[in-house]
Amino acid sequence: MKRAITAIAFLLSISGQVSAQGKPHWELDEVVVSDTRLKNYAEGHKLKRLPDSTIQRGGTFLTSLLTFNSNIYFKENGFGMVASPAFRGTNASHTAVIWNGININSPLNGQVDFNTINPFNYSSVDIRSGGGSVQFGTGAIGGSVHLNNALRFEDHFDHQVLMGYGSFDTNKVNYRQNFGNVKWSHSFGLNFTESDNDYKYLETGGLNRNGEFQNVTLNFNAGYRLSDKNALRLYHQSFIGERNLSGNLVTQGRSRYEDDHYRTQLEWVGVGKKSTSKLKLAHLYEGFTYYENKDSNNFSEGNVTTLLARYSYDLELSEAFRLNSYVEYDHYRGDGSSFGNPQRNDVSLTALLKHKVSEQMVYNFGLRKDFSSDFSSPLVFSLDGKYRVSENYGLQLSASRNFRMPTFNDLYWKPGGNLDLLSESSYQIDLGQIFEFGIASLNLNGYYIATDDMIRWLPNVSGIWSPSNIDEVRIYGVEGELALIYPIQGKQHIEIKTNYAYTVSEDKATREQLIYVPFHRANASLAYNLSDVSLFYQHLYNGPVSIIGGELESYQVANAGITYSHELKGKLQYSIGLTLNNLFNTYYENVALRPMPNRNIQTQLLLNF
Amino acid sequence: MNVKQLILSTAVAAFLLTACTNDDGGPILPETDTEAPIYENGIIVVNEGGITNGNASVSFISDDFSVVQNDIFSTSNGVNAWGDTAQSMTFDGDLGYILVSYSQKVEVVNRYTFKSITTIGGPGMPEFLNPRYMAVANGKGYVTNWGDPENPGDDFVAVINLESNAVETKIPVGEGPERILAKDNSLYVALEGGYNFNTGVVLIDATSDTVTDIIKVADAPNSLQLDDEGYLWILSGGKPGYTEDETAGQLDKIDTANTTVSETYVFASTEHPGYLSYEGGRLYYSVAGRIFKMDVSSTELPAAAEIIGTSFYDMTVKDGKLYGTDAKDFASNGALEIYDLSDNSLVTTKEVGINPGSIYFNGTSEK
Repeated sequence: MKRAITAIAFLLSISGQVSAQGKPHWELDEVVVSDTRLKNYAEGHKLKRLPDSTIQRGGTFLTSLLTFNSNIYFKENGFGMVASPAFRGTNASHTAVIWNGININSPLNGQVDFNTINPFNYSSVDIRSGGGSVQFGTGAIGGSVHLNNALRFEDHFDHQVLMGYGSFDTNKVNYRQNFGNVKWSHSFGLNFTESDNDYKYLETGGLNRNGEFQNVTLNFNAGYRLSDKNALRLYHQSFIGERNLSGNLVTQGRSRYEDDHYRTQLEWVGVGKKSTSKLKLAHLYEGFTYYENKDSNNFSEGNVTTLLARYSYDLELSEAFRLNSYVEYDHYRGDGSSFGNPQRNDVSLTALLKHKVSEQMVYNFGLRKDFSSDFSSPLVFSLDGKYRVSENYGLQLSASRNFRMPTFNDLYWKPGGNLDLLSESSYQIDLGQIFEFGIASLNLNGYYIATDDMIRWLPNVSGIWSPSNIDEVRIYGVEGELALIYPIQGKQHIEIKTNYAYTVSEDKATREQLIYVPFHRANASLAYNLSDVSLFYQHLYNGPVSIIGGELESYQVANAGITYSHELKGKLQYSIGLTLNNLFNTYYENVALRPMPNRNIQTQLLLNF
Repeated sequence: MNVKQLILSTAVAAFLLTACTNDDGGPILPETDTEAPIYENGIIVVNEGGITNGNASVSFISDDFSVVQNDIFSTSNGVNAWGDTAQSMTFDGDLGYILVSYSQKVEVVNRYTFKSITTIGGPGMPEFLNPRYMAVANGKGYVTNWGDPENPGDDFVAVINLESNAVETKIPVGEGPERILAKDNSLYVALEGGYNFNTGVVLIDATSDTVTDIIKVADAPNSLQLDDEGYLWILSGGKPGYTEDETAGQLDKIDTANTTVSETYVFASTEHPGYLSYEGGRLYYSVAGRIFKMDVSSTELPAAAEIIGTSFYDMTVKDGKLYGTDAKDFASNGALEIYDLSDNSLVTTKEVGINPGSIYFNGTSEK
């Protein structure tokens, strides 16, 4: 934790040095996000934005936020433990997580543990369904989750303090600061979370032993306008997590896992008359230490450092055409007990063309090729478009080829790592319909994904486990999302959001549904606001899933909460919130034999000033 | 199969949660008389299940191969998940002892009904830590334990009083005690090495419960057999190539009267044999899926394999037949393969549980 504190002190010292200037005319937008590809070259994709208000109700980790507010299904090894997504029936490494424009999936295993991401310090979380490897690289097969920090170049200086306490001795403290003027903008966030996490197993009466966790997250994001055409932006995130790993119903957890993630990127943006240039430099570090016995000094460890440089050039060719091209260089350097000291260099070239055919119709075409020193990746493409049929009805269509690189474990694990692996390759098509009628909007999507050369670990002739490109999977499904915002009268309104997904994800050889992919999954959330008081209710239905050697039962689980907000004199506003998680005290496992928490209470006090 | 490999790779696989196909455990047959010795005259296969998946199971196959019943422990005891990683089983009289390594326990059952009698140890309890194999001598059960697998210094043999079913003492041994074999009041414990590679076979005296001798063999002794003349045969796998310190496998013949090596057979430097079995004056073992047969009187190792192309996770020989388990992808149901050793033909293949890791034989109940 010492490192975090030093970093905070450092960042606070630089943030205080900037003062307001005059107000020239700016080519640059008032509110900027780092990743413009989400908006500018993705009209044919379903994009769902979870705003700040939803994030505040989302619980401790990104996992619970997405579980109740999206169609992404999670496998969680007990609350707070390793959580991995199945987005549109794909596996854990087929969801890309994009932090302010950069893919942060672990080079070690291709995944992001969604219980290592605290959603509080993002201004929004976007969920982009469907393949996105052309824009976002490895792993964007089922879809991608985007963590965004917006910078606002208007005079403001806001603080937010959140304190939470709840069942299982769960403590949260969160401080957030936003500052801005016409030249400078920054946001700073610091979060500390800890929990004994020793909930009772409802069916056996046992306790969730060895499940305690604590983590610190620090975010610092800043933008500075050098001139009316040039700007610099800095994004930084640190996560320091310590967890014991709980066991299951028939074992006792004894291990402990510590992981650190440090991510920093610096971006220069230059805006011309018709063009925008961006140069991005990033340093990503992730390291873990695993103690099989938490009380011993024996451990295994590993870390990877990624250095990234990306130059992108966006050019408005004409009224109708726009071109974005970029070149990216990545250098990876690893060091670990199980994979030695491998290094790798990758280069990727990408071009995206947008054609605005008319006010109603737009489409994008993209190509990307990755070159790696250690394996070959396919040429991938994307074609997506949107057609606004009428004011109330629109069509979206996308087709793409996507990939997932072999991971460090796949390539370099000793013994067994295989340097002859190829990237996994996936084709998909997705048709979406959007209905919008005043207070209601409905999205309907149908898709098909065929993935081959999937990497699987099996023992070879000499009994050594080794990965090879052998599995083929096909996935198809339909998704529906309905949102209603209904003002009743005066200061009241009701908001209803529902998601439903039907997913068939099967091994091509056996024609059987993959483990841990539910055929049916639905959630709904309802929020009611009456001036100072707001109430919310969230409900999840998770259908039965196949597991190794059996089936896991379906479950329904619900959360409810109430918040009272009040403005005191000046800017000061406070709100008091109470959330009941697992309202009906349902027993459920989302990974076999690992029960999730029983009914529990979390309280929070929020101050804005 | 190297154990560390398996554990690490399984841990990786569990971490990746790599999608695998579903396979049900097969039909569970209805039972009428639960006290009847319904699992006599057949083969018992203990299926480890996946590490941390908690899906250990036991399969029964009748001697004529006409009946296959999976999940017999669950069925007989009316439970669902009961254990994580069932490593092995040992029999004593009418009793069976199932060693469940990740659940840190020994399940004691009636070997013919699989009704639970008691449980020794359990998750988080002090009796066992990664129990592996058990042998019975002098009225006591001797259970090899790796302890904390990352710690080379805490390995032990737990001694169970079979009257009280309590662990009475723990005998410290070197790293990675694996197979254990009893001859009269002597116990031979092979130090295969657990996560690492060790060497030596420790001799324990079952009257004093102390280590009295150590037999020097090659690296990673993985199986022990007694022949009909009372000689102990020890097969060592040697260190595999990936260790970058490859050593040859070796077969040693031990005179148990004075604990001396009376014969040593050295394999080629890249050959790593395992699964030593014995019947009727002949030894059987496997090298990279090829099964060899050797007469105990032979002065050299056999050159030609009897059966090729197997991928056994365990193997044993009985009544002229060779029984081997195939764990397939280690995530779906495995198989028991039965070969006739008179012509080395495959007699039949039966589907069993996940990760079938050990094979035993149940005769006729005396009840």
